[in-house]
Amino acid sequence: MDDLISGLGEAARMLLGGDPDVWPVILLSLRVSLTATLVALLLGVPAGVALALSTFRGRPLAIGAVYAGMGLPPVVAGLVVSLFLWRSGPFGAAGLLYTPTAMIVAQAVIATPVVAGLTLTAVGALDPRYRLQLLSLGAGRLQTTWWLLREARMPLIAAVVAGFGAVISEVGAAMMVGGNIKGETRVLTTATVLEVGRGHFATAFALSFVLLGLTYLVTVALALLQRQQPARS
Amino acid sequence: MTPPLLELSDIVVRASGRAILEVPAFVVDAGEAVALFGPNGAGKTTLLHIAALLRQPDSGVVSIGGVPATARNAACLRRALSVVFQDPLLFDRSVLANAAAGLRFQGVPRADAEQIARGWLARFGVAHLASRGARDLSGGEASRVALARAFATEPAILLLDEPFSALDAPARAALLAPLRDRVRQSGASALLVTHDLAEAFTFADRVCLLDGGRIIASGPGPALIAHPPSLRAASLLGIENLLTGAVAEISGDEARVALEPGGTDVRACLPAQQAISPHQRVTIALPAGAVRVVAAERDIPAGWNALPGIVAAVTPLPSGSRLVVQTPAPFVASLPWAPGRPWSVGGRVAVAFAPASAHLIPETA
Repeated sequence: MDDLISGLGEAARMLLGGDPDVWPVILLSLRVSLTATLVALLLGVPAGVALALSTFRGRPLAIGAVYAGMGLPPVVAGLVVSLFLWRSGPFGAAGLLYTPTAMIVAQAVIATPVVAGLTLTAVGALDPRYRLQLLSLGAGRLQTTWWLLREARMPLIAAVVAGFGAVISEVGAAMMVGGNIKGETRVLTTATVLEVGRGHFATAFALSFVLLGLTYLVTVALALLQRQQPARS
Repeated sequence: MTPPLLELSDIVVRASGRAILEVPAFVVDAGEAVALFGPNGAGKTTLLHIAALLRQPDSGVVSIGGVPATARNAACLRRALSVVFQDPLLFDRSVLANAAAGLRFQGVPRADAEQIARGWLARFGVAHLASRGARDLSGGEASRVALARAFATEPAILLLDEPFSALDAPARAALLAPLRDRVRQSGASALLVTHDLAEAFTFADRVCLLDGGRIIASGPGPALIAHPPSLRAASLLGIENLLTGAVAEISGDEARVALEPGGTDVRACLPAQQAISPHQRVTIALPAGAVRVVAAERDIPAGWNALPGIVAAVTPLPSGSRLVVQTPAPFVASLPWAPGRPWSVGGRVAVAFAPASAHLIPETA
């Protein structure tokens, strides 16, 4: 209990007192997880829309794979990305292992199925007649997709929140492909694990509080976006 | 000869191995307003989706303006159409953006599209809602916006799938007449799917009866009522008196029919389309509005059928009253509204109708 209280105090001191060690960790966490979420959006939204709107042989299998991917353990994602980026792996020459880029790749692997699955659900839940209405109004494929996504934007923002939540909080993949190198690949979750390992519970709590606060702020920002009334046109 | 605006040929649609729609030929000509009427599950919406090129038939061809639709040209041909679905299906944007959507999709610049859309919103009496969110409208307002959106692209043919089914009767009535006028003024053709016969008659030049996926009758509404081609059609058209009997005698253009029960003789004009022979079993289709109920036989016009009977039921209606008279064959009569209630159950009356009002349907039909 003492650790918890002193953790709170230390969290405040870290943030307000400008701890030179903690700000890079926070900024890297944000950079990695937001970039990974963006990549997941760019890949997952089109994939989810395609799965929701098209019919093709093997569609149930593809949908099953996406839903299974939503539960992909970060450690497994980290392992797979590690194998690819390992010096002797297919992309080993790029020298990306233990860099923020590797962490972004691994986290994108985790978040993409989450975003794709929730997009699929969101677009699939729309009244199918909206699509017919758009087609009958002469909308092309891209216009149809764009208008349907706008109709489903509330659950889509939830998809973004879920994708970001999945990656900002994961530790397995970040640890495995980032290596928790101080000043280079250390993020809030890996730093917390390290501090617990050292027995510095108050510091670990402080980092956890920062992580919680960060997740809360980003989620609230997205939720505010969700509540916003539609644009005029 | 100009090709029909919309032509369906040899259309078959199957679901679960069963044909749910079989339409060998269906045509809507330029400027024609057609109503597609039928009970729930008759295939009306399926036919409309086929006509709107939103669903491919299992076999058959849809042609728009003489051009057969293919997967490749469907998007282009669809620009000649506008569809209004059962629900307004407005998008979560402003009313103006909804009304201008079709024009924007066709590449019309925003300013022009919005100006045209405002014009159509005004014609449907909802111009003042242009900047409102489309989801904040009442049912009637949303229906008007959906109609404005459909007209804004100036389609050659409007396909209307029970566009007012979500509205109550007064709201429906308030929208139907302006819609019909707009269709007439715009010169567009229209196909209205409805399960409301009054709506079909009010709107359309021609009514098509769809039952079990087949068109079983087609013609101007009054002609269908006067000469329903089959017992099923007469029943769907809501013709109240469907009296069975056997032809006793044919003389000139009239047949004498012995009604069941009771064996009372009545005279009916022979139908032009179908051959009727003596002793054939027939059904007499007689709209309730063609039946008069009189207290004394001297009030019956010359040449009419007259049958004495007893009033079995009286139903007051807003527009008058509905009587059932046992002759002993039961006749339903719809009488215009009159002050007082001259008819009471058990009263002795006579029912009368002109032979020309009674349409004979052979039992096989």
